[in-house]
Amino acid sequence: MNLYTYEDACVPGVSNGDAKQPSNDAARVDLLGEHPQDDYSRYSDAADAAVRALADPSRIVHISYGDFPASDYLRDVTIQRGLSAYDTAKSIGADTALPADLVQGLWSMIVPIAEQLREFGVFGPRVEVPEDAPLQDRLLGLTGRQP
Amino acid sequence: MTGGPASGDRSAPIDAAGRLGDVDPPPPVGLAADGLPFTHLTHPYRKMATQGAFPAPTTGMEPKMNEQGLFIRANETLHGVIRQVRPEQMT
Repeated sequence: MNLYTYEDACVPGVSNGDAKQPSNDAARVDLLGEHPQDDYSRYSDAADAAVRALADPSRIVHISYGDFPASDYLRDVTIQRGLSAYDTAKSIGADTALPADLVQGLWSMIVPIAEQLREFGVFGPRVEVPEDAPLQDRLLGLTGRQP
Repeated sequence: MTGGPASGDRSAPIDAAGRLGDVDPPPPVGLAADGLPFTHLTHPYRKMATQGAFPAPTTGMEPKMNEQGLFIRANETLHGVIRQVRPEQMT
């Protein structure tokens, strides 16, 4: 959960075009205090606000692995956070149904790069899912998850 | 490790690797192994993409929201899940 918080904490700075984030050491800092839910909410809300305020998604932002358009950065973090929502919900026994529009968006983002990401070990082996299965199930199978 | 949702024990703490109880750990996509945000998700792909290894992706199924809207949707969805994590599971 601290990692998720750190990722959110990076969003305003990256979106604002700040220089590369001090990643390794900063990620080891515990951002969650005595009220972790409140602290998490604070970082999450700030990340949302920063993205809402992003006037030009084509602007170049500085990430630890290079300089890219903000829209590309947002795509990457969206994939990460969308799938993390499913993984975390499954881990705690919560409802794992993702919003339909999010599933659609993740599907469109991931399909073109799924096999490349799989080659790099980001996704496990594809889980075969019937073509007429719900799109979330197909998304999970595509990303190596058992629906 | 014992406990966790699979055993009906919802009070099991998260271990050092971020795993809850005896539930299988999630796939590695959400974990930045080196602490860099999203690095292992994107770095190799990014490196090759910038070298022209991959064509510009097209799916024929464009998302209904732009990148900003989708990020907020994903982030709020994750936030909603986080709200369901019990305090003792956050240690």
